[in-house]
Parts: sequence; structure tokens; C-alpha cells
Amino acid sequence: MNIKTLCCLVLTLVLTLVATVSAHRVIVFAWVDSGMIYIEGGFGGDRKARECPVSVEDENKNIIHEGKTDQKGEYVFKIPDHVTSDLLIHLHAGTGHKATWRLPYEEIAASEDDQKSRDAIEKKHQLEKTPSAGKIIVGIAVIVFLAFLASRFKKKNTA
Amino acid sequence: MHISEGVLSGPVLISGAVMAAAGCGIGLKKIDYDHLVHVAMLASAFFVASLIHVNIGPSSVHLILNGIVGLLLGFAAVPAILTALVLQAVLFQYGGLTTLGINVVIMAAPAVAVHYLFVPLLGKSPRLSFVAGVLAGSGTIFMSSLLLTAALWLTEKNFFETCLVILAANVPVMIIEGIVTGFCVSFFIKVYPEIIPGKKNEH
Repeated sequence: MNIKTLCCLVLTLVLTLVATVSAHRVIVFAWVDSGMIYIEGGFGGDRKARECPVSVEDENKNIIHEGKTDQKGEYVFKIPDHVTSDLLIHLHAGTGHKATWRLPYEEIAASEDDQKSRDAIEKKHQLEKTPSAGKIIVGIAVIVFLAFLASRFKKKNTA
Repeated sequence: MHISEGVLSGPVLISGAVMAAAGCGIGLKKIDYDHLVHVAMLASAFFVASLIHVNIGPSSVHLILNGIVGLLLGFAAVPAILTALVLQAVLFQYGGLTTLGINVVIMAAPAVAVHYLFVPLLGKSPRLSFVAGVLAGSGTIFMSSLLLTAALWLTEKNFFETCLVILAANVPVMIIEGIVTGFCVSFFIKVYPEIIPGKKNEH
């Protein structure tokens, strides 16, 4: 088997697998509705971040609320009193995995702003998307291009 | 296995970046420029492997493949893994750019170690080659778990609890990676032995 056949085999295998793959990253998003802050955590696709600690900080890094997601990866709590800045919501998914969502103060102040809630949900859907085959192919193309550049560079130096 | 942004302390991140840069420098010097295609192919495999999830009970694990990359590339695995991790961070938001150095150390250092430990066993007999592949695959995950624990410990200081959680979470990955690496090694020895270090001039 020559190298070209092998590369074709690997590429075919990769593209076949891409159809069933899903992302591995921690995702957290939050929105405000009716005086409550709703938090949802996951790992992309349908995998929820269950029983993961959640901490809420103000801009001065003071922890103003702590909790834990439920079996659906969700956590809801009342907007804390005296919030005067954006809130940073951290989801700790263990073993070095952490995600942060910034909840703007304006959204908290106008807690029934439907448009902002819709924007947050739209952003959630974007984050949960499985990486596209296009991105994967771009990544592989960059690696091959770098190898090509290195090879040219080496040839020039040895010539 | 990818550490996210904002988890580790500054000194750990800087130490990781320095070690990764040193490893990358050695790796670039040791790359076999006549076989760059191998490096590119294995870097691509590593880049894609993290997307392949295996559901186990209520959770899911993903392949890493640093065992096979290290086994076949040695020190050249460091720049290969660095490139793949940069692309994963930029394109898929895995890990992060500030944690890139420490993530490279966690995944590439065990990969280089298994190269020197198990390459002498490859090609002696089909069974021994498979066993070497299994041990290399499982061993890299085990060592990566220990390095991940150390990185978190240097930040959080609760070593044994963290160590147990990480090792327990990675036992399924160790088993799967071991089997996958064992079969990959057996496959390469049969169909493309030139990729095995030390076998390049025999064909």
C-alpha cells in the first residue's frame, strides 16, 4: 500500500466518522426571565452538564451566589439583591473543564426583555452545534499546508 | 483532557508554555523531514480524534490518540500535537490559547515517553507489537492523567481527591485507547511498516 492510498483511506475514515461525532467542550449560557436567572450547561449536542457546581461573580470577583446544576444540566435562582454590574457565571465541569458566561447588567435590570432572552437562546444553539465537517476539513488542510511549508523550507536550506 | 481557560494559576500556565516551547524546539530539530507526511497524517488524526465520542453509561468519553502519535513520531509528536491543539482551540473552542502550553505538556510528554519505552518492542512478533501498542495507548492516558492531576494540584492543592476523580474518569479512555492503539500498530506493521520507527530502511 503506498502513501497516497493510505492517506485516502484515513480521509475516508475521518469523513465517515464526522457524521457521528460531537463536540467536547464545556458550554454554559444564562438568561434572565421574570426576576430569575436561568443557567444551562452542557458539552455540546444533547450531553448535559449534570450536578456541576455553578458560581456567580460580580465584576470585582466577589462570589455572590453558588449552586449546582440538576440532572438536566439546569440551575435557576432569583436575581441577587444589589447587583450593580455584569455577572460572570462560571460552570465547573471538573478535571480542568470550566466555562464562563457574562450576563450584562442591562439584561438583569430589564429582566423581562424578550429580545435579549431570544438572543441568549440563539447563542446557545450556536454553541451547541456539532463542529461542522467544513471546520474539520479546514483544520486538516492547515496541517497539510504547514507540512508542505516545512518541507519546502527544509529543501531550500539544504539546497 | 483539555484544560479550559481560567482554571490554572499563572505560574503553572507559564511553566507549561516554557516546557511546551522547549519540547517543540527539540521536536522540530528531530523531525524526519523526508517523512513529513507521516507527521501531518498523525497530527490530523489527533486533531480529529477528540471529536469521536464513545458513550459509556450516562457520560461519554472521547479518543485522544496521543499514544499512537508519540509511538510513531517520538519528539516530533510535540509540534504535531501543538499544531492540532491550536486548531482545536481556534476552530472548536476546546481548551484555550492560554492553556495551550500546559495542554501540550499533558498530552505530548507521555507520548514522547512511550516512544522510547515501546518502540524497541515493535516488529519483533505480531503479538508483542500488539501488546506494545496497547501498553503505549493506555500508558499515555495514565501518564497524561497524572500530569493533569499535577497541574490542577499546583493550583488547587487537593491532590488525592483530584487524582482519584481524574483517574476514575479516564479508566474507560485508557482501555479504549489501548485497544485502538494496539490494532493501529498491528495494522501499520502489516500494511505500511515504513511508518514504524526503525523500519524505514527495510523496504
